[in-house]
Amino acid sequence: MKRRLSILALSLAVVMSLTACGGNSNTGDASGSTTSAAGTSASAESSAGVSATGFDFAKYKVDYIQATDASKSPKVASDRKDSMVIGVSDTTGIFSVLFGDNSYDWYMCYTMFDFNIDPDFDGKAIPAATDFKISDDGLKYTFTIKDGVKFWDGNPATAKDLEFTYYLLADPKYDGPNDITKAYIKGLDAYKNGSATTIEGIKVVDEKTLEITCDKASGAAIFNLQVPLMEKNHYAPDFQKGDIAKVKEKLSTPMGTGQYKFVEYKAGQELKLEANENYFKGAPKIKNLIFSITPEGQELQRVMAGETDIDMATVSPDNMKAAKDAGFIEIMRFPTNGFGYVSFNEADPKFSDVKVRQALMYALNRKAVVEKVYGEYANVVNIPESNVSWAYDDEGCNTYDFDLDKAGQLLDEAGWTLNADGKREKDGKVFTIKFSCMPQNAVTDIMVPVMKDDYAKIGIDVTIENLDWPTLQEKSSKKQLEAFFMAAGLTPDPDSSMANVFKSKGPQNYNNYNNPKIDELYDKGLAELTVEARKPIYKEIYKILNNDLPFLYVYQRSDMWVANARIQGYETSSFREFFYNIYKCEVK
Amino acid sequence: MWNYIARRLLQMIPIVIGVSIIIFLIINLVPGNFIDAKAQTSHMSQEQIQHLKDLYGINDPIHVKYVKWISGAVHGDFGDSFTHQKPVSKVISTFVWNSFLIAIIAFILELLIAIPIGIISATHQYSKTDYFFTVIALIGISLPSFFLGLVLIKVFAVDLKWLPLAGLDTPGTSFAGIQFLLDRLKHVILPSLVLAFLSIGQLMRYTRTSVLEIIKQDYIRTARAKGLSEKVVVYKHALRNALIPVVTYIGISLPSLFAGAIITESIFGIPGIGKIALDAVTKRDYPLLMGFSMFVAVLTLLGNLLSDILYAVVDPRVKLK
Repeated sequence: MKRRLSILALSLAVVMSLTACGGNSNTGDASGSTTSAAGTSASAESSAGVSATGFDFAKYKVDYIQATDASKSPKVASDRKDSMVIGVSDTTGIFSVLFGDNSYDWYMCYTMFDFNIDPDFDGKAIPAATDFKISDDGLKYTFTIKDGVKFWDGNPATAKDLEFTYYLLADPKYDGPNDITKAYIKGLDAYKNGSATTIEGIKVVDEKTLEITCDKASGAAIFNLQVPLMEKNHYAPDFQKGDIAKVKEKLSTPMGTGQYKFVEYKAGQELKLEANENYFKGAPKIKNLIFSITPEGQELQRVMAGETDIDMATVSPDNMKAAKDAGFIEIMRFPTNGFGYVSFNEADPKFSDVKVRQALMYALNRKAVVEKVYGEYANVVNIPESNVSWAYDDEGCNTYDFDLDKAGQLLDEAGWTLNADGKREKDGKVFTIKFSCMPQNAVTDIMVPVMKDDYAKIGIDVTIENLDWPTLQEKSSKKQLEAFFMAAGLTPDPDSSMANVFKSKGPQNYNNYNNPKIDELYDKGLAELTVEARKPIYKEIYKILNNDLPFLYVYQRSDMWVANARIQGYETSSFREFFYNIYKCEVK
Repeated sequence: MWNYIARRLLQMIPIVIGVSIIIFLIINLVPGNFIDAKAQTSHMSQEQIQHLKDLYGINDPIHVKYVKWISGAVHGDFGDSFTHQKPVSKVISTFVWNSFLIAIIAFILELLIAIPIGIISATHQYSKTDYFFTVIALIGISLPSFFLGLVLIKVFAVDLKWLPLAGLDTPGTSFAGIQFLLDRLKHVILPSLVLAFLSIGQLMRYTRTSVLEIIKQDYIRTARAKGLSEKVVVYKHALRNALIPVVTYIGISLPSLFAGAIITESIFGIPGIGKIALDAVTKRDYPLLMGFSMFVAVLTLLGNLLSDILYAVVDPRVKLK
């Protein structure tokens, strides 16, 4: 009966995701944490988070739980001696990170393409298919393609191919999600918005070397310059400015240098790849790689049935238990690159007072909400950064533990005193909050009633408005919402995701937060070029953001890969998924 | 007859245009748009957001958008899907056949099961058999597809392991011929069953009512009075007339064969048009949404025409002028 119930819960999750489909938010199983997972302590026997092949999961905050009995793997899976099947939720068949922004398409691309730069497991930039050098003033980047990097058709990758991808990004007709302007390449504007036919700052030095000159140094530029190696000869041999349509026609028949070669794509169903024997880091050990589309909510079921070898499943006590009980499943649980938050529009004077925001933070029982939704598998967060990032430092930050008295006191200090009806009032105005969120979202479904209840206790009435994802996005981006709940995604570099949000003129600053000190510090953080020099600056930023509370930070949840133990050699973290090193995986 | 068809087809033109205006208005008046919906996650600059909105035509006033769309549409160009970065007609033709496959199997099952039990229920009115089938039919009409789908998955795929959980083919296989067919059949049987079970009730009730009505008519009494066996009376004399409304039902079902089944497809991981269309709604992929809605609208009109023609074919009393 228990299992039948859990499948019903799954079905509800499916329906929720059908209606909520945010992409950003998670449709977790909110059934509570009664089936407590005693397994976290039991996993201590798995040699402290180090895999059999020696990868140190614990170092990157990945909770690694080994399989107890790999021989229980279903026959269907064990019979696939030379292939590996990866389950993904969705694909659009756009096989280029330049044009698509679906993360599952990106996973596929990571196995088919090499980049000039990769994120390391902790989010730092490391050389990938090129060696790179940055001049001391941070204005000049030199990329040299490594020896042996060859396209699947045998042609060596050249600086011309690298140049080609930058020209694609800079093209006036380019309509993908990447924003190359943030790298400040010299002469880019004249090309993109003017009549120039070449970009001054991009120079092919020789067969293997490309030099990029920027107008402005930036510590985050390296990631803004990250591009895949796509063979120019295949996509558009005589590419001219504006020829984007020609390139797009070729996106579904890719040509890269990556670990696996494209074989066949069945729209919306599966992608079949084959090992690239000439891969410059060494031939992959598994011959065939298949990406198969899994309906949402059935990720774990399919791995358990042997239809797939690895998939990303919702982290919930039920799923954890089922995966552990199966015996042959390895779990790699890692903190999600993002956090959920409540935002208040500071154009409204009642929210522009920091004491009010702090009071609202104290009165929000974040711990109870997070525990109820995710059990032990999510953390309450106090700063807007992932605890995996090199920039994370919450030393000396306020944890805003739930405290209604303190909240009331702060509201009193801010001048919002209780009136005769027991409501907060200031200058004849009663404090109310109109709160917008998505219906049937696992978090808000739990959080909103708790919030409403506790805020009422300190004399504030909350009314709820339900909006679907695109509507919430549009209204928030036009700053039309008074208060809303959303989740933010984090990028490996601490600047590229959040500076846009917290700087007073940031394009994703949707709540009119304005602190000149923060603007200044984010600029300073970019002007420094080494991670060591940038660290203290972000520490200071997070300390201020922890006090200012432009958002009420709520939680950072986790995701998990569930994998059939018949395949070993996964190396994964929040910032660098196992796809980058999939050539190391082998069938045991 | 041919005159009639030609006239009806001509009449469709203004209707299609009217429908297109209404759908276009509704789609475009919904708040939210493709670029804003992804601006935050992609961390774009303000200039980039504006630039993209220009490229995608999101900033155009609504009448300009419509003129652009209709002038392409009359040449068969429905624009490019935002999410798929391919022409809308290509996206639809890629996915619609997967939907059609499960829908047509479901439809055949529906006809094969619903009509006979409808007749039995009618000829045994108020018997235990009648009540039994009526209850089953009502359960079918009332059950949500996700529930039925998940129960079937649980029983046949998870516990018994007879059938696969999801998809259209076993991952990584490239079967041909009979092996391919068997593999495909294994994958489509559950979703088709779900779809069939949900619609059997309706058609069964249709048939039952229609047979009941006919069976009480004078000519049936005459047939019985001549001493014909009950079998001949029902299956030869009554059935022909009783099936007339059923035939029109078949015509009206035409669009549903192509429109996709959103929830069933999502649960069984079938790459069908229903799932794609739902994604288009949540991502505000206007061209795809518009193209798909018009596709269904035209099919609905054709379905109605087909049903009128079939009516005249099976019932000599009806004359189309």
